[in-house]
This record gives sequence, C-alpha cells and structure tokens, in this order.
Amino acid sequence: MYLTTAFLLVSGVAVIEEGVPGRLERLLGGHVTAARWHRWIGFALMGAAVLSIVLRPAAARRFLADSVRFRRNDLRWFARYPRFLLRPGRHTPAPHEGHFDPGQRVMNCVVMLSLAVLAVSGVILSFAHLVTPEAFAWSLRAHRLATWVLAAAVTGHVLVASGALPGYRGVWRAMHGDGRVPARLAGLLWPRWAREEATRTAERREP
Amino acid sequence: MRGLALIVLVPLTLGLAGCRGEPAGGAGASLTIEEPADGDTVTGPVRLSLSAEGVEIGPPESGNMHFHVYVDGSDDYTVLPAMEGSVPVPDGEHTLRIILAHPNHEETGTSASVEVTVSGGGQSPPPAGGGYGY
Repeated sequence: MYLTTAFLLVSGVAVIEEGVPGRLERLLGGHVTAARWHRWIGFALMGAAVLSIVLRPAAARRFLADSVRFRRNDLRWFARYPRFLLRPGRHTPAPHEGHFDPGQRVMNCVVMLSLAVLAVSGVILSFAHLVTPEAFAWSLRAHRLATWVLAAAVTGHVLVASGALPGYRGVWRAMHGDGRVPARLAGLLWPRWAREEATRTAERREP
Repeated sequence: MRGLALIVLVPLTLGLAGCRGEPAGGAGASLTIEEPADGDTVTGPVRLSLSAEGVEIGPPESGNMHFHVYVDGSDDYTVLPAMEGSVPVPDGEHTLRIILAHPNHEETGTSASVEVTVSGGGQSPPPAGGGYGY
C-alpha cells in the first residue's frame, strides 16, 4: 500500500510537471511509459480498494461510520490540540468518544475524498478519446488538486504515526510492530477504546 | 456503504456527463504536413505548418489533441500544441515524424512524416519531451 501510493505520487509528478521531474520521467522510462505505469498501478489500487470493501464490507462500513461521526465536544479537542502538540508534558488532549480521535477522523475523510476524486478523475483522464476536452481539462485540474491534498494529508499522518512528535511516542510500534500501545498513551489519545480494552481485559481475567 | 458509493458514483456520473458533445476523438482524423515539403533544405529550428482535419488542436491541458514530433528514430518527442510551430533539429538530413496524440499523450494511428535537410542554425535534438506543461 505504501509503495503503491508512493509510486503513484512520484510517477504522477513525473508526468504532470516539467523541469526537475523531467529527469524523473527519464528515470521511469520516458513520459509515455511513466504515464502508462501510473495508469496501470492506479487501476490496480482501485481494484484492490473495491476488493477489500467487497471482501470485508462490515469493516468498511465500520471504518466509514467511525470516520464521519463527529460530536459537539470534538470542537474542544481541536481547540486544545495545538497546546498538547507543543507541550505534551503540560497539556493533554480533550477527551473524545470516537474510535478515531477527531483529527484522525478529519484525515480519514480527507483521504477518502481525495482518493475518490483521484480515482474518478483518473478514469476520465485515461479515456481521453471518449470525453469532451472540457471534461478532460476539469478532470486534470481535479486530479492535480487532489494529489496535493492527499500528499499533505499523508505527510501529516506519517509525521504523527512516526512517533517523532513528543506526544505520540509509541504509536509507531502500534502501527508497525506488535500492535500494542502503552496503556497511558492509549488512555490519552483514544480514551474510549482504552476503556473498552480495559473492560475486556478485566472480563477475560474473571474466573 | 451507501455514502461511499455516492462519493464515487456521483462525481463519476458528473464527469462522464462531460461526454455530451464531441469527444476529443481522433478517429477519422487526417494529418498533412504543409511545410516543409519532402526533400526541402531548411534552417533550424525547423518551422512546421500542419493541417489536421476533424480534430481540435490545442495544449494538452485544454483537453484537445496535439502533435508529437519525433526526429529520426528518437524515443523523445516535442509536444506541438498548434498547427504551426518550430522544432529544434540538428544540422543534417533528418526524418521528422508527426503523430496526432490525445491530451493524455496516448498516440493515435494518424501520422505523417517528411524528410528534410537542415543547414545553418540547427540545434541539438530536443530534450525528453512530454509533460503537460502546466
């Protein structure tokens, strides 16, 4: 998934820009070759996304439901978040009741929307001979804009998930290691999930 | 799930609604090289004057068709977004091949070629072409 989206970003920049990415085009075998690979990998990623939704519809529904549900007190989370980010030792994020924290939910929505725009506009761009010049031109604008929006969202996600930020030390292991996160961190970042896990653990220990 | 389906289907429908009217097409198009004529001796950069029936020509980002100009058997091409334009070609005898291309740079089967001799003022072959030039 990481490699696929990274390749799509690199090859997309190669075919859509001039100048320095001109060398990128040559690295990818020239403009036409780079554009073809970009399309094939793009279609493959779309197919994989559709397949995952078809194979795991309940998980997909849950992800969507958890991502689009916002509550009034999420505003307080956004208001306190900058202070937590800058001085996690002194400030904590406001509690929230979601499976994802409000920031994650916004990112999920931005990513889903960007990918949808990229997919739809990408299909239109691939079949230029079937659409009007206006449809192609607008699709190209949408595709380009969605690329940079997605790149920004993914960059922020990588920054947080890397654990480089002081308040997020330990999340890297949760994502790429054994899936565990320190209880203290879980309680801070995902309080509802931490409560549910604690309850489940206690129930499992009961004779 | 309905929400996700709507996110994909609504924009796709709107986008494909742009199929109303004439697509960029290329089918049935014809391409003629008005200038230079076969065998001409010209100075570089070579000035091309083309005639294309049945298509609108413009920059790729406009969604219209354009031309790819190849010098001899090179894999690199110059994008020509108009019926007229100049192409850098080194001195010597060369074959210029012009291919009609879709805005996404996929080439059609419509092409024309001309052999010219370039003397005095010819330039190095163009760098790797392509790109949308935005």
